[in-house]
Amino acid sequence: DVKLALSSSQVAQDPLVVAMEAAAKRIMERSNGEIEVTVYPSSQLGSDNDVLEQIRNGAAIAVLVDAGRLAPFKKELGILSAPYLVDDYKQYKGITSAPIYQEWVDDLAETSGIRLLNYNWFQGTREMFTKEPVTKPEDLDGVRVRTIDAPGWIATVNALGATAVGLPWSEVYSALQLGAIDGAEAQLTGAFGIKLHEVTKNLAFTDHVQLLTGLATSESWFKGLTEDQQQIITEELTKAGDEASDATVAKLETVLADMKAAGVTVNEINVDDFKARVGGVYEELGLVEAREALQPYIDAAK
Amino acid sequence: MWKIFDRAEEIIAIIFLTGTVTSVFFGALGRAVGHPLPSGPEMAQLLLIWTCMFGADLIMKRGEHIRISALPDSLPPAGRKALHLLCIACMIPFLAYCGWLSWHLAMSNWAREIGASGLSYGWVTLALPVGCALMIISLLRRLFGHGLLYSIEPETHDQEQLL
Amino acid sequence: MTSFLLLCLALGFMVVGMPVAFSIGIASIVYFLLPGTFMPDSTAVQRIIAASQSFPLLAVPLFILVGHLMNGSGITPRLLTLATTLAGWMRGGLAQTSLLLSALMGGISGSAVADAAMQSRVLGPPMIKEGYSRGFTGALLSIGGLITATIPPSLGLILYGFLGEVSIGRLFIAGIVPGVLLTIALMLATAWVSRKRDYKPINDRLPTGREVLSAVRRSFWAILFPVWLVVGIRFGIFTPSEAGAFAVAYAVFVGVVIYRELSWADIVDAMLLSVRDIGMIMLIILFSGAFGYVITFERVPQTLAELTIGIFSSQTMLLITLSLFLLAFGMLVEATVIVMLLTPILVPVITAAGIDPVHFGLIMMTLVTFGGMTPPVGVSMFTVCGILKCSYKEYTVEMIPLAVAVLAVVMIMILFPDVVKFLPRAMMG
Ligand code: NA
Ligand code: NA
Repeated sequence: DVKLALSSSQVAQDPLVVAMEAAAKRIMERSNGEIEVTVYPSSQLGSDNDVLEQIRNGAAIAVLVDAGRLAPFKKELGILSAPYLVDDYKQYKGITSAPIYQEWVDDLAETSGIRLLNYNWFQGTREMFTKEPVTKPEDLDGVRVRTIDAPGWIATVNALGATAVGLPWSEVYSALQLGAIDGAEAQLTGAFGIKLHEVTKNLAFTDHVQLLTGLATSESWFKGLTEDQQQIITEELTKAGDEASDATVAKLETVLADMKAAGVTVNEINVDDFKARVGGVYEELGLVEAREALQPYIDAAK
Repeated sequence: MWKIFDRAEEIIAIIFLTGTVTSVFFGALGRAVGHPLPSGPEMAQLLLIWTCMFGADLIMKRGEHIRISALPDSLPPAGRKALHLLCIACMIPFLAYCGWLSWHLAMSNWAREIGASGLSYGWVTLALPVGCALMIISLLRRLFGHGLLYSIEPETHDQEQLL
Repeated sequence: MTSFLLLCLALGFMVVGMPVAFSIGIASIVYFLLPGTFMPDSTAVQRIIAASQSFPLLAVPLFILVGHLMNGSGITPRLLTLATTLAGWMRGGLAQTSLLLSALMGGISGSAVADAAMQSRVLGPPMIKEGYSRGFTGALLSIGGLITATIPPSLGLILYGFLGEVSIGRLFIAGIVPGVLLTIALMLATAWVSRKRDYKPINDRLPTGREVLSAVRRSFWAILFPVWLVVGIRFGIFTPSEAGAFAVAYAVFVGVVIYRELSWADIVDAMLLSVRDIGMIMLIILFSGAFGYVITFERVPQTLAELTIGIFSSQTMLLITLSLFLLAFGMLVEATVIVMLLTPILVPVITAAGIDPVHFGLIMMTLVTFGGMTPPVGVSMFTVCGILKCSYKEYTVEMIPLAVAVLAVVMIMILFPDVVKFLPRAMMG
């Protein structure tokens, strides 16, 4: 009998978790009850980094993480959450089918014991939520914007012109409400989940990062499965990723409407003005070569 | 010799606490004036676990860890000794195992970063094996220096507690 | 089932006198050693470490340090003068003064036991000399600490907020009204006892406006402290988790620069005492990290929530039942331990029943902290009776009117939730 725990930082109602639950059921059925999958939403098993550490020690868990979490183990993978890498999240299909990407994933498994099963869980595009309206990059001067506490994200937000603040996600609402920060960058669904629309009334579609995530599990545990079991798990979880992405996209429309109804103003911006500012981020993170290597596949996917 | 060791431990613990307070303070102050120190909260949390482990050992040395003493107190010294022996027989292997596991965890995950500062999370993890080792030493010193009867409780029952 | 057995194991260790932190730690590592657990053992130590890596938790060591700095900074005697001026004219003047002092200290200190211990040393001997019975003196000074623990800042509420993922800022603001109600209720009970026993006032007349003004001026910086704390949190100068660091800086500033009483040696002393307290309380929190993981992994809160929702039809009935349980448990077990063990389990249960976790937090912390003031096991009781040399029996008899006052306030909080919920809603939306 095989047991697998799926961990996500999202809440139980999130489309991603819903898709995980569905996959858990299908895996159970396809394996005739041999593989038992339990889903743990809301970081119940620990923060993403903690779960990754457990995974490296051989725990039978798969965690949904963005590539920034994997970058310390395999620098090149960090590019997957770099700013303005693609125009549309569907172009990631081109990236994940590139041989160079497969090399990075195998390298990661070999050196760190983390097996990246897929990278097709779209959570939304990162946008800028602020107290004051933002219509051009200059408006971000001196604005304290919360971002993910990792080098890539901080570099991106600073490059856009804001002042990056790496606060825990759980503190964002009260920090905004109390004025400890002036804005936050987030995807719409995530922002709606913590009621960001109650404390920030301006939204700019900066689209700086297409937030894709993937399921990472323990290489040693995964190798210990039979080929059949590996296939069932890989196929069903990748399928779940596509379902989750579709559900997320479908939800974006309603979420945006709800936010507008709650009094959020969407400010017109020219994305290219913001895009022009982030070139240096790739150099800062040492990802220039990786970007060049991926470019043909991204172009082909357009 | 032990005197120097004990004094040094107190001084280090105080330095850790001072560092925790100043990191939080300047982290918040920096953000309030628009120049956040991205590593402020991270330093604070790193120093916090070190403060905790050293503080826990200082308390261990005094035999003052919070415990419910109603049952042992109602027993004659021989009974109390027996219960204390049972406790210590569980505590030392527990500390040793925790220390070993966390040492292994720190060493095998050195690549994990604390956050934006790029510092290894191993520095956080390392506090536990160090703390466990210190507490094993202190427990043994109490056992041999104060005897089984006062190994995990102080000679006088007048300590104050929180909440 | 497994988690129930582990809970029994932890309680068993506690009963035989093992330090609480280790009882919890050993019981949780046993879970990982069981053959049925498919998580690696290193997950246990990882959870222990992860428990320390929480930003809100930083408030605990910071406010412990603030409490210790108070003693050397000259803030305490100034607040005592103010309390004496304001309450000395009442029947049972010294007793009423002590309650008012608890309320004033409440704005700075977050610990009931620290307040009770300080007051037993400062006010205990004069009260006994004035003819107050030892039992009543002990009970009053001990239970007065409950006011200090309820008025923000509050260590108990910080722990509850941290473990239950409830906004500490809201909990703090929600504590103001119950803290004031407790002060009033205890003062009424004290007035009744004083009339019956003919405990005398210490001043023969009401204070003049000039006297009040002068006392307020002398303690101005100390009174300003809680105001400044709430304003600072409300206007985003710092988050509730960071407030403690500013409180430390303020206490040092007032003690060194304004009152000029806090010496270098005092600061070092306060830090050493704090490091010890932090080690004592945080080791329990850290080792509980592994225990919390076991509870989550075994889905205990979900199961419990599903069970209770079927049984209780009304929120009030659920609250009353839980309160009786917490009161009984609190009388027997140390407050920190109960908060550690029960917050992660109970918060999901009451949230599922539609109860505001801020509301429940105030009820739970009041009862659990009060448990430390009652026999048979109570840290506040032990501390105060130890300092005043009063018998537990006398203490128990004399505490009855005060206990009635506390329970009446809890009943008000249960029956009229708005008493607790109004202020945070008005201030924070
Ligand atoms: Na208080
Ligand atoms: Na009690």
